[in-house]
Amino acid sequence: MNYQKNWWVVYFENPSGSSLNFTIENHSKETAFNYKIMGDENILEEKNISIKNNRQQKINIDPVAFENIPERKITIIITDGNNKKEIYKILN
Amino acid sequence: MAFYLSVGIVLFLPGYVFLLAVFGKKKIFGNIKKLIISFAGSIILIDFLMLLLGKAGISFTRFSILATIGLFTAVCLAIYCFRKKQSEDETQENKLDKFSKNQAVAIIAIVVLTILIKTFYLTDTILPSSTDLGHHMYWSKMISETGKIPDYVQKDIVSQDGNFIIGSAKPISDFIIGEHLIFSAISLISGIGYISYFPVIVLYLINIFGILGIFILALRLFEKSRHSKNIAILSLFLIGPIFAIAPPQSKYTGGGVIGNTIGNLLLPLTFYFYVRAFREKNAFFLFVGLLFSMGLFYTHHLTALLFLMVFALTVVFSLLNNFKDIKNLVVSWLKMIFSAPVISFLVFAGLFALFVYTPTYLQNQAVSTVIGEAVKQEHQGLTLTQFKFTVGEPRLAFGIIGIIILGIIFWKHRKNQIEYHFIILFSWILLIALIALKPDLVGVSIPSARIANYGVYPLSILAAFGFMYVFSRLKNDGGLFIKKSLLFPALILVSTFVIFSGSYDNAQNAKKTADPQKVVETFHASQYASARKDQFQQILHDHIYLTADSWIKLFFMRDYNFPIYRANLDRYENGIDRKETCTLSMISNPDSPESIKCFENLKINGIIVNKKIDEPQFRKTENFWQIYSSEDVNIYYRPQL
Repeated sequence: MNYQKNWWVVYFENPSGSSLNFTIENHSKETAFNYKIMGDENILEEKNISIKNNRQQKINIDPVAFENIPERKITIIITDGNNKKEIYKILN
Repeated sequence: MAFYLSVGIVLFLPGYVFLLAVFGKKKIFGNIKKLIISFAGSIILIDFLMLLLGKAGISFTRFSILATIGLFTAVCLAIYCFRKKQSEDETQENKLDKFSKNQAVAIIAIVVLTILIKTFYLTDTILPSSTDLGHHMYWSKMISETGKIPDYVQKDIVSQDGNFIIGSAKPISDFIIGEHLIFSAISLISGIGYISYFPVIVLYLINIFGILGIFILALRLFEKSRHSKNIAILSLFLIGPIFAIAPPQSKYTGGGVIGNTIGNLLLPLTFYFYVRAFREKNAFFLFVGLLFSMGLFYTHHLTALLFLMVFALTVVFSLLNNFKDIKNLVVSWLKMIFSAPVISFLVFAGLFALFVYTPTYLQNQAVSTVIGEAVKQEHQGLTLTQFKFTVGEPRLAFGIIGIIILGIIFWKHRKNQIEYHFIILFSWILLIALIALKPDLVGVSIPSARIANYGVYPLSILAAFGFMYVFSRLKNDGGLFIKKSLLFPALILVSTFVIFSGSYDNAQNAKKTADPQKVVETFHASQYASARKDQFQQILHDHIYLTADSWIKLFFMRDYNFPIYRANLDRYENGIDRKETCTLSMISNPDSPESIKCFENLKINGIIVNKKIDEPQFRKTENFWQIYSSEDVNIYYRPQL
């Protein structure tokens, strides 16, 4: 999976449930990542993380922290400075 | 190391010991021929051994396959040891196998150049990505995982009472067992996984041996000519380094066109054995020829059909050629047919087909779909220009010259002897040209371009003969037609044209096919979904824009049609291939009423698509969660609403 070493990926650990835990897998030369958790247009959490090449970082989101927010669409936006990727769930 | 060792055990040992058992210690084959025939023979023998093993109810495992090969080797060696040493046949073959120093250098240079060009192209395609190879490797993996001969079935979307459902399993006629067993055997013995370089490497080897097969066939066909070796070397050149990538060469290797590639190895060698059998009136050659023919029928129906037609035409032409002495000819053939090796083989083949394994295309009456009027546009024949580009202009030009000259020679000598080399080559190219250009005349419905690709093999031999004949005659009697001083420049000019055409074709075909990173991304997304397969009831993926998508099913191994997929658009338009539009609509317009019904009926809750092409329509709706995102691949989840 580290072939050609110029890509990275983000995904929810649990596709079907309401869990927002996600993982960034890094197969690129970039090591500095930033993620934002958005509730609709609002930033709910933001953090910088470092992930070495060919490593992955699992980020656990505390479910209690987002339990009572009004926003339905929770989007996780990750950037490496140049590229941006996002994943989202639309929760009831 | 384990992989290469298993290649030796699976693709050399059975064929080699079989040759020893059949021909004993006679030096009938030189070392190159032994290597090529052992390789091709092994493909056939492994198929038959595994089919017998499967019929006996023994599961395919590393141990069972190795034990079977070991037992077969022991039996063959025992037969070999019982045969007396015979050396009376040494002279003829040794003469054909002795090359001058220049010829040997030319052969080595051509083979090395061929390998270099093909390797250069395949470097980019070594990562498994092609659609056909993915389809085939699903079955090979199925054989490895279940340890059994597979039922070639798939489940399609069907309409029932106004709803869509995944129907019951229906037979597929597109696959033949001989395309899959060798890969299963190698994987089981070596432990190597299918999503690796190994399938392409095996196909690459088969392709190289197929080219060498043309070399030994040309050598045998023209054995009576003093130029036989030069014709064979030139044939090798015309099929090797030039036009080395275009189909049916490396494009077929990288593209995973397994049946055709094996067929292109077996067909020339089948002719080789028949030529030797009928010329030398040797029942053992006929026995091996029949075995190779049977191998074709268990590996590739199209090549087998072509072989059958060429063989029938060859028999008819041979009888016509020797009409006055037809009784003696038929008696000599019957003597061979009613010999112990041939009769015992025919009994074996009959019992095998009836009680061990009948090829799927015979069980499903798929043959009837090939016979008759061509309906699909791509079956309705090529233009002469398309045919010329498919087989290569210089090969066609010199091939036509070759067949005309051979025809004249045949006509002159028709009363003296049977010119098998002309009859086979003529029948071979005549049928290919007819089916490719005017399929209605023959009454078959086969993709015209695919059948035209077969033409490169007989045309390479014919072109080599034509080239050699023209220049050797000009060299000897040239004064009548051309000044001797101009002969060399003319040779250079023509050679330049041949090399330039072939190299230009290589350059055109050497374009990158699949971006390795995109392939890896598809595999990663598949791995992600398969690791969470309990959360996906049914998955849909795209075929049009996803790279290496046909390999996704290898991560699940639930059904040949799992995940279901959106096919190329023309498949929905021609009214033949796709009779439903759910798979098209669910990706192209996921929020439409039709799509919503399809999603609900089919219980699809996972969708894998190309991010850059198909993201917008999924983002527009709130019915999907974007749960996975890489550079090129997105996965969507459709929750229960």
